[in-house]
Parts: sequence; C-alpha cells; structure tokens
Amino acid sequence: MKSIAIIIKKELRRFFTDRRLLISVFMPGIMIYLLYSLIGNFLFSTPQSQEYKIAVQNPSATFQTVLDGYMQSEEVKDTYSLTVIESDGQAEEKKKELENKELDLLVIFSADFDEKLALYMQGVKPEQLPVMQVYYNALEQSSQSIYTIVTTLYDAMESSLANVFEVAGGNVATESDGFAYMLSTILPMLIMVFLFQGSMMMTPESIAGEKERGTFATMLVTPVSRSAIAVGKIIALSLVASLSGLSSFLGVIFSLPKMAGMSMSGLNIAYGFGDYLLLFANIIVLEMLFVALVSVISAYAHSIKEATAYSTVLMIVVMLVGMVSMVGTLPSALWVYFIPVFNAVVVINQIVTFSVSALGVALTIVANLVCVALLVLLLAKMFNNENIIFGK
Amino acid sequence: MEEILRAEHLRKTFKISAKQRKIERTEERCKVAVNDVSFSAYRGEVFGLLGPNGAGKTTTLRILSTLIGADSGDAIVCGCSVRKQPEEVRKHIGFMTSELKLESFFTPSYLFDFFSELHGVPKEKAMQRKQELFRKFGIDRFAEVKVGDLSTGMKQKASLVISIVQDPELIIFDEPTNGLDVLTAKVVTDFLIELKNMGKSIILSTHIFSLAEKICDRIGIIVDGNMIKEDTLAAITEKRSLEEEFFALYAQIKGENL
Repeated sequence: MKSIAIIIKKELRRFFTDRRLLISVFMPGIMIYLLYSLIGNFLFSTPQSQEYKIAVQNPSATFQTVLDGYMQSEEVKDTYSLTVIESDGQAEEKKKELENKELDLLVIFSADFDEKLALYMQGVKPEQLPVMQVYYNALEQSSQSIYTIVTTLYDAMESSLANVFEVAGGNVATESDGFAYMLSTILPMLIMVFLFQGSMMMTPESIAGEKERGTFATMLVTPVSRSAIAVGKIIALSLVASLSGLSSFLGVIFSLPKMAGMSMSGLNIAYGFGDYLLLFANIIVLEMLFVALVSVISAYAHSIKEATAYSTVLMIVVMLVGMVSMVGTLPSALWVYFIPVFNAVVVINQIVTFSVSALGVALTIVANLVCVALLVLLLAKMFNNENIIFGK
Repeated sequence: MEEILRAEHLRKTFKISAKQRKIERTEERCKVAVNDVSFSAYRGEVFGLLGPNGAGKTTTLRILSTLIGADSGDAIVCGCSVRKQPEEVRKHIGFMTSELKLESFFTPSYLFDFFSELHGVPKEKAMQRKQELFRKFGIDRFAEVKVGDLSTGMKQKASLVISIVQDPELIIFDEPTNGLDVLTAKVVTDFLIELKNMGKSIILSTHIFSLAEKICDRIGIIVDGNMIKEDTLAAITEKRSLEEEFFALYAQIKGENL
C-alpha cells in the first residue's frame, strides 16, 4: 500500500510542478469554451440592418403588403427600396444589374397577377395561373437573403390559399426539455472523446516515455512489486486525466447554451445534485478504464509516438461507440450494462434524459471497475515481461 | 569467507526473430545467451565478469538482479532466491548500468528521496545518507538542479549514488563505463574504488582488463554464454597478465588465433 502511495505522489508531482503539462491539460477546456462560444455568437448574432434594392415589373399590391408586413415586424430591422420597371427591355437591364451586384432582387409578375389571385380567392379557378418570376444573385449575400425572405413569404401565402383546414398547436416542450434532448444526443459522444483525450494526455508519456528513456527499469530494480507500480500509475494518471476531462467537459457545458443560441439560464434545468453525482461517478470510472486501456497500449508500445498512434485508433472506436446515441434509441436491456464503455454511453444518456435507474448505474460502475482491475493485472504482468520492458 | 551470491546452473535462451535470423544468416530459432553458468561471490569482495560483447554478461547480471527470469537454474543472492523471492532480492541489491536512467524532470535530491522511500529507508536515515553521499561525491553543488540540465558526468554521479540509496549489501554494475567519455568513465571507476575501499561486495561486468585488474578480487571469464574460468585474480594472473590469459583462453575455446 505504501509503495502505491509513493508512486502516486511522484506521478502527481511530475504533473503539478510542470507548467507546460498543466497548460496542456487545462488548455483544451478553455479553448473549447472560447471556440464554441465564438461559433455560437457568430451563428446567433443579430444581423445588421440591411437595405435591399428590389426591382419589380407589373407590381402587385399583395407584394408590397406582404413585404411591408414582414419588414415592419419587431425583430426585423431591414428596409427595402422599390424600383418599378415598365418594359421587358428594362427587365433585361435589371438582370445585368443583378449580375453586377448592383441590385438584390428582380421580381416579374404576370400582367394580371392581382386580379387572377382575387378570382382564385373567390373560388374561381382562372384558366391561366398567375405567374411570379424571382431572380437573384446567389453570389451576393444580401441578394440571397431577400430571395429567401420573399420566396418563403410567398410559399406561405400560397399554401395558406390552398389550405382546406387549419393546423394549430405548437411545441409543448419547454426550453429545458429541448436542451436535455440536445444534450442526450451529443453529450455521450463528447464525454467519450474528452475523457479519452484526457487519458492520452499523460499516459503514453508516463509509461511508454519512461520505458523509452530507460527510467522505468530504474524503478523495476527497487523492491516495489510490479502490481504496486501498475496500480500507482493508473490511479495517479486517472486523477490527472479526470482533471483534464473535467476541464474539457466544463468547457462544453458552459458553451453549449451559446452554441444552441440560448442564454445560460438554459443550464438551470431540472438536474439535481444526485444526477450530477451519478454522472460524476460514472465519468471517473470511465476515465480509469480509458487510462488503464491506454496504459496497456503504452506498455506494449516501444515509444511515445507508437503509443499515441495506437491510442488514436482506439479513440476513434470509442468515439463511434459514443455516437450510437446520436443515431438511434439506445437499448435498455440488462445485458447492456455489462458491456464496458457502451454501458457508460447508455447511462449518461439516461441521466441526461431523466430516465436513469440505480441498478443500471451500479452494474455499469461495477462492470467497468472489474475491467479496470483486469487491465491492472495485465499491466503488472506486462511489467514483469522482459520482452515488454527490454524489447527493442 | 562468507558467500554473498551463488549462481547455480543459470540458463537463458532468447527467441531469434525472423529478421534477426536473416541478418545473422542462421536457421536457429533460439539463441542460448547464458548456458549453465555457476559461480560464487564473497562478501567484501569485487567479482569481475569478463567477456566480449554478446557473451552473456548483461543477461547474467539481469537474472541476478531479477529484471529477467532464467529458463532454468537459480541464484541465491544475500540468502534469497531470485526465482522465488525476487522482491526480497531487490531489497538487498543495488543495480547500476548506463541503460538505467534518471528522470530528467526531477532533481537528484528529490530522486534520492523517492528511491529511498521505494526501498523503505527510514526518513531520518535517508536524510543522513543523502547528506553524506552527496558531500562525498560532490553532488551537493547541483542537488537541486534538474537532472536534464546536468552534464553527463554529473548525471552519472547522481545515478551512481541513487543506485545505492538503501546501502545495499551487494552492488551489481553492468558495464558501468560503457558509452561514457573518458572523464565520466573516471567518475565511475573512482566511485567503484571508493566502494571497494568501503568494503562493499560488488559484482561488475566489463571488458576493460585494466579496470578488472585494478579492482577485482575474483574473476569469471564468460564466452558464448559459458563460464570458462572462475578463480581469484591472483591465481589467474599468476603466469601472465589478465589480458594475455583471456585471449589465450578465448583462442582455446574458439580454436582460432586472434
């Protein structure tokens, strides 16, 4: 027991007194927060007011009414200027202007658009349908936006004309439910990736690195048992990895509302202390499992480079497992909890969507801890293997 | 004379990889590194294991220090079996080779404390020993400098001192001057002489005859994994110098003149 503590102390000292390592562990969380927030701000920033230049041939009264109705609504700060064109020749000119980005939109109505529309509304189907041609320049952003606005408005009008019945109602989910759903799909994958990255932060350097540099054998000639070294290393590395994983995780949690275009109050959802505790326990055990896996890989590898390369392959697998919750409904049969790593995905999903069962969490933690114990045994065995330690 | 180490019929084979077989143009899948090696070393004496590169010196010493296991045979080191009580054996020995390194991030002072703790040396005794050894070998000047920032000679000194933190009964040195420049090599030989003067029991592998002649009490000559001669230095060098004796024996075994 005592030698385990000595090993842990040394590993932690190595980490906490090295500024570069500290930065490399906490930086991802900060970077994630900054980056996601930036993306969120960019996606959901209120656009600056815009003045659209529109040219219309055979102006229809409805057009102005509809467009005014939109432009004058509260959230919209845009305005538009309207030029009326008389002849087809002029319309060609305007198309050129559109091409040269001097004009944002050209709308050509058929001559009797309004009359035909009126007839239609009275229930009389005219022989020829009213026609509206809309031209825009996809290379110009303002042109693209006004085109989207106009066509959306007219599509809405058209479908309302054809409506034979009204569909009413709306989304009854609260903001927090929506957030919970979003979290449940994306969170397991993010947690998997961040925890795994956390385990890759120090483990290859601490095991493959020590082997590569010849400092590991120095420890092997002391009376400390191989299993004490294995246990000590895995505990210390798990602690560091958890810190790194936690940093990334907090970065995501705090920036997710911004990504979703919500305020921080979206976070004040119905998760209680118990939920956080379950999530935390689950995460710590999962982190230990990842560290144990990467440790075995690192012990097998001849160099840090090799260890990192092998671990990256495993990370992709882990990421795919995490993505399962994004594509379908997760099974909740009892056997699921016995599959390491995947069980954690299921449990995290359940915690986030308020459907967690105590038995499931307990089974998951026990199953993953058993895996960790087996991996520690394997690691101790590997430390005893001369081909692993001295193999070239 | 009290026996501190007795190796009994040690044998160790290594698998030869396909690539290695091609390089050495051999069909054999197995290489015998150590073949039925037996010898004894005595308390307070320096035992020198002499032989060319690849003779099996390192393998023998690694077996004795429990870093690797023998295929058959056993060795009793300080009364403990390397086969059955490896952790006990490691309590009594210090092992030093240029392949074992110190972590460059830490200072000699911290590493001394760390290895003292791993060896279970009581704190006070460790402190006292650190002061004593650091002063004696001039490490106190750079005790708080990270190993990575030390010169090769300083590093070597730190490694040497740290290999004996627990005041081991038996110290095993595997080619301690291998790959070192002349100045650093001198640091090591001076250290060895110092230990000998302190009355330590030492096992040393080397291919430097002058070093062996200078400090060894007993010599074992190993060629191709076989111990071909084991006797006191005085007996071996009775008629001719150690070097001449070695090459004569070598020629006899290999059936060729060098």
